Amino acid sequence: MTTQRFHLASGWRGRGFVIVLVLVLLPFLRPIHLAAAPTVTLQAQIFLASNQPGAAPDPRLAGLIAQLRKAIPYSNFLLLAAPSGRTEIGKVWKTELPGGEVQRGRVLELTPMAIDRGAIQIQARIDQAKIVLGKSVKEPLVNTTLRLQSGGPPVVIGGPAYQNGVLVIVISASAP
Amino acid sequence: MGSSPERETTDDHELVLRTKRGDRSAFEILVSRYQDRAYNVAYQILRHHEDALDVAQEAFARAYVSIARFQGKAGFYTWLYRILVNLAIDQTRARGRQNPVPRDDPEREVALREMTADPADSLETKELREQIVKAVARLPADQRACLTLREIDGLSYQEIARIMNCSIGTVMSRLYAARRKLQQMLGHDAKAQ
Amino acid sequence: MKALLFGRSECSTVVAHLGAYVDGQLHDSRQKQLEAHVRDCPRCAAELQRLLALREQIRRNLAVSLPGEDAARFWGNVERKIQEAKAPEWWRVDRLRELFWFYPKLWWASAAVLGTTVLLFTADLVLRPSMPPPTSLAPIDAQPRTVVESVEGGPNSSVVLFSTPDQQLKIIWVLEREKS
Repeated sequence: MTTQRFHLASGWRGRGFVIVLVLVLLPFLRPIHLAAAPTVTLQAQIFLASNQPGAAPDPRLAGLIAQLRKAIPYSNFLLLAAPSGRTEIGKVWKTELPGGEVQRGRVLELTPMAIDRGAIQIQARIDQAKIVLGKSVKEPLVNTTLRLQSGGPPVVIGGPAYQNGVLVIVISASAP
Repeated sequence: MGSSPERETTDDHELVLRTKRGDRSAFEILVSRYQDRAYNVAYQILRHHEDALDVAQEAFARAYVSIARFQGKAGFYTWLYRILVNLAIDQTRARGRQNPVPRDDPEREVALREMTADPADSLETKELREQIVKAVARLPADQRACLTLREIDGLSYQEIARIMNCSIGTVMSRLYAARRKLQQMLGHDAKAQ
Repeated sequence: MKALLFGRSECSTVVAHLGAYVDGQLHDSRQKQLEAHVRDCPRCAAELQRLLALREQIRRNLAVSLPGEDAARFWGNVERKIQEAKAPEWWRVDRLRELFWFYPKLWWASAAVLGTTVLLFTADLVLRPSMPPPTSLAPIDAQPRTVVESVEGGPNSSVVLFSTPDQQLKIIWVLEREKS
């Protein structure tokens, strides 16, 4: 009898079954889809650290600058730029940094490699172009692999010379 | 390509074990090791670049998916070639191409062959090459397969028999028949001389 | 005479075995017999030469190489085919349909699961606080720590790794070598 019931399934009931099945599974498809192509939001706050007197910093940055002053022996931190962007895991996000021998020759590249329970693994590198025998040649300044907590404390890369001070780059990341 | 192939080494065996444990990068090494030879075998049977590429890749994929069933009694490449040759011969049958003439773009055929040829070859040599290619293409698929495995991969009769799932005697007779036909087509037989 | 082991009347047998001989597939004794016959039989010797010439031509002229760009994409295509081949077995509509016919209460269970999932899904969207926009500057306070897994300088720079005294910020300091 049961077999007979199964074989009596007509075309439209069969389709209805598939529709219900899809509806049951639909809520699960969203996280699966996100897991297939996770994106990371990256930001690089680029400061010029120097001992030259300057204007008072943005009050929103006061906390961060206070932290930086504890470890980096400069009195003035001027925010030059704060580029940000979104990129997928495995894809590079780049931004130019000021300074270097060659104009527009300094580049920060951030590549999120993986996300694991809120920790984002990122490869960060700064390359700098220089003139060698009349040709522009790119060489790395620093190459590092980091693990940042999404929305958590940033990491700081500093030291490349610029104008009368050095660059200090504060890198943060978040993954929704 | 006339030298004998790598026999299954401890390396292959270890890579297969790692693949069975889920290490896909181990299988990637096996693929890179054998992809050129697999393509060559498929191409000689199918006589078409895209089909040969597709069949070679399909053979590796099937080998991966059924790696759990691979016992390791024969070498990995013997097992792979078995899948590959069966796929290629099935493909020729499905498309009614038991005795195909080359249906690849002639320029592509020349280009593929030029990659392994000596650029300094004379026109006469190039013409001879084209004659041989056309003659081989006119052989039945199973004879072509045997010839490729023997002459290009340098496999033994026993290995060829395992790959083609036939007896050593059948391998011998296919090779004999293939060589005879080629000699006739190329005018190398005793009657021509 | 040794040639009589094959004998002139058996030239056809010898010729049939020449392929196996050049392929190195004959047993030692058979190989010696064949060689002895060929030494004394010009016809079979000529046949052997023709076979060797043919083999040489085949080996030199037949092989093709996988073009570079196809070689580079080969593994990627294999991976794609592996994914296509490994469709999850639970997605077998006929099997599942059979299951639901045999156990009608599964309909109610599925509806309950669907309803609960939708509720949880939308509740998550409503209740979860929004992430700060990228340009906002999150204050530094006690949060899970940052880890520097590896760091290296370049040919003309070295790096030093340290933290703020409260360990809240990790700092990678690049020291460029003085230009000579």
